[in-house]
Amino acid sequence: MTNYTNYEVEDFLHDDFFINWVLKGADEHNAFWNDWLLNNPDKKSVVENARRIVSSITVQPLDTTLSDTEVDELVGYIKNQLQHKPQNDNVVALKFNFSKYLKVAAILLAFILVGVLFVKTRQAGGPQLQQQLPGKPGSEYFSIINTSTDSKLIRMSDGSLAVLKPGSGIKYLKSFTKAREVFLDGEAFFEVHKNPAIPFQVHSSNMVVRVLGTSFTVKSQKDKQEFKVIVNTGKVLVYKAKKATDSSSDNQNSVTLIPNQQVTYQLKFKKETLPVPLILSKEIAQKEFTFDNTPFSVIVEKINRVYGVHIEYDKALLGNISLNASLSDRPLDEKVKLICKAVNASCEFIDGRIVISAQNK
Amino acid sequence: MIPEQRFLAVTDDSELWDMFRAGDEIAYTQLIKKYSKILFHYGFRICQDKDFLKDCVQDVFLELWNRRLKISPTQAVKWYLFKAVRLRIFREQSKWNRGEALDENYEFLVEFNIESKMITDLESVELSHKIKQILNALPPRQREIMYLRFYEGVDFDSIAQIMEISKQSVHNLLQKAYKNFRSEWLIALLVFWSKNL
Repeated sequence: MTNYTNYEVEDFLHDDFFINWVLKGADEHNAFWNDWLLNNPDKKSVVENARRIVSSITVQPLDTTLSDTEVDELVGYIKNQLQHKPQNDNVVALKFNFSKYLKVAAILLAFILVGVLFVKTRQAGGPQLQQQLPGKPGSEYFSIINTSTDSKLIRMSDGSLAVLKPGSGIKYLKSFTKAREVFLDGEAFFEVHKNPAIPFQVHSSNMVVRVLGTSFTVKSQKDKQEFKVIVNTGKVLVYKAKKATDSSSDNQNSVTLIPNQQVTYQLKFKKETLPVPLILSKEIAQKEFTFDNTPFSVIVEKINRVYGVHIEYDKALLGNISLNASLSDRPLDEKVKLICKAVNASCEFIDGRIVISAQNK
Repeated sequence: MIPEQRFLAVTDDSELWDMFRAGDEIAYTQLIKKYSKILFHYGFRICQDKDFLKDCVQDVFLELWNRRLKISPTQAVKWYLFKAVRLRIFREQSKWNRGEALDENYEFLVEFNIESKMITDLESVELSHKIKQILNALPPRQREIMYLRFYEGVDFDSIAQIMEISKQSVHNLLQKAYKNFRSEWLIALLVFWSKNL
C-alpha cells in the first residue's frame, strides 16, 4: 500500500485510491482511511482539503441527449445492418455475365453514388465563374459552360460525374491525383467516386461541400441569398470557405449531413430531415432501380427523370425490349452502360450528351 | 434472431461482455441499450453534431459485433467503449479535415461547477466562482482528464488508454491544471477552515 505520510493536497489529487474513496466511499475505502487518519492525526486537514476539492467538482449535465426512442431506433438500425449484410453480396446485377464485365462491376461496387444539385443566385453569370476560379489560366483546369437547353454529363478523370444544368458553369482540375477540386456556378448534380484519401470538394460562392463517398444535392433559391444541400447517400460536410487568417475550426461554420437530410444556409445553417426519402437514397434506390421484365424505354425514362438528363436513343428499335436489371449501386454512366449491354446496344458520352445506338450486325 | 422478450438476468458488465463475445445477440442488444446514451453524452463533449455522433456510436457497435471473436475479455467495458467512440470520432473527422491534426485542437465541451455546500458566504462565493472560471478555461485535454477522473470516475490508467497518451502525460497535464488554481483553492480552503474550526 502506498505510503501517504508525506502526501500534500495535490498528491492526493493524483491518487486513484484516494479519489475513489471520495467519489464512491465504499466500505473498504472508509475502513482504510479512517484507520489511516487515526494513525496520522496531523494529516487530517490535508486529507480534508483534498477531499473537499474532489467532492466539490461537479459537471453541468448536457442539454442534448438521446431519447429512448432514438436509442431504440439505433438498436433497430444496427440489427438491420447486421441482418442485411450477407444479402448485399447476393445482389445480381444483370443476367448477362461476361467475365470482363464482372471485373469492371466489382471495381464499381466500391463507388458510392453522390449527387449534388447546385443552384446559385443568378446574378453570378458565366463571366463571374472565371473570376472566382483561382488557378493558372488554361492548362490545369477544364472549364465548361452549358449554353444548351439540356443538361450536360461531365465525366471527370477519377470517374466522378456531374450533370451540369443549362446556364451553369463548372471548372475542375484535369488531374485529380493530388486534390479533387471543383468550382461551380449554377446548378449541378454530382456522383462522386469514393476515395477517402482525396476528399472531393465542390466550391460555390463562399461555401464548400466536402464529400468522401456519398450523394447529395445543393440548391439555392433564386433571388435569395440562400444555399441548400440535400443528401441522398453517405455523409457530406458543408462549411463556409475559411479565410486564411481564420485558423479556428469551430463547429458553427460547418454541418455534417446524412442521407435524406438537408441544410439551408441563410446567414446561418439550418438542418432538417426530409419527410419523404429521396429516390437516390440507398433504400429507395434499391426498389426504384431494380427492374424485372421492364421495357427499355421505361428504364431510360426513369434515369432521365431521376438524374434530370436526356438520353438519346432509337425508341422504335430499342424501346420495347424488356430486361431485368439491378442498377441501384451504379453511377449514372454505368447504369447506362449496363442497360446498353443488356440490349446489345452501344453508348457514347459525347460533349455532355448521352447517346445510345443499336449495334449493327 | 432470438425473440426480444427473452429476459437476460445478467447485469454484470464483464459477464455481459463475455456472452456478447460468444455471439449472444441478447447480451449484445443489452450492451447497446445500456451504453448508447452514455457514449453519446461523452462523444457530444468532443463533437457537437448529433447525427454525426449517432453514426459514430452505431459504427462502434457494428464493428464490435463484427470483431467479437477477436475481442478480449475486459472488466472495464465502459472505458473500452469510451476509447472506441473517441477514436471513431477523430478518425471520421480527420477524413473531412485532412491536414488538420484534429485531436490536437479539439474542443472538449464541459461546464464545471463548484458544489454549493462549501459556499457559505460572499467571500467563498467569489472564490468558488473564480475557481469555476479557471476550471472552465483549461485547455481541452486538461478539461477532459478532469472530467473523466472526477465526473466519470475513470482511473488514471484507463484515462491514459482512452486518450491514447502515457500515464505520465495524464499526470503532467493534471499537474498543469492544478497549478492554475492552486492559489485560489488554498485561499478557499483557508476561508472554509477558519469558519469551521
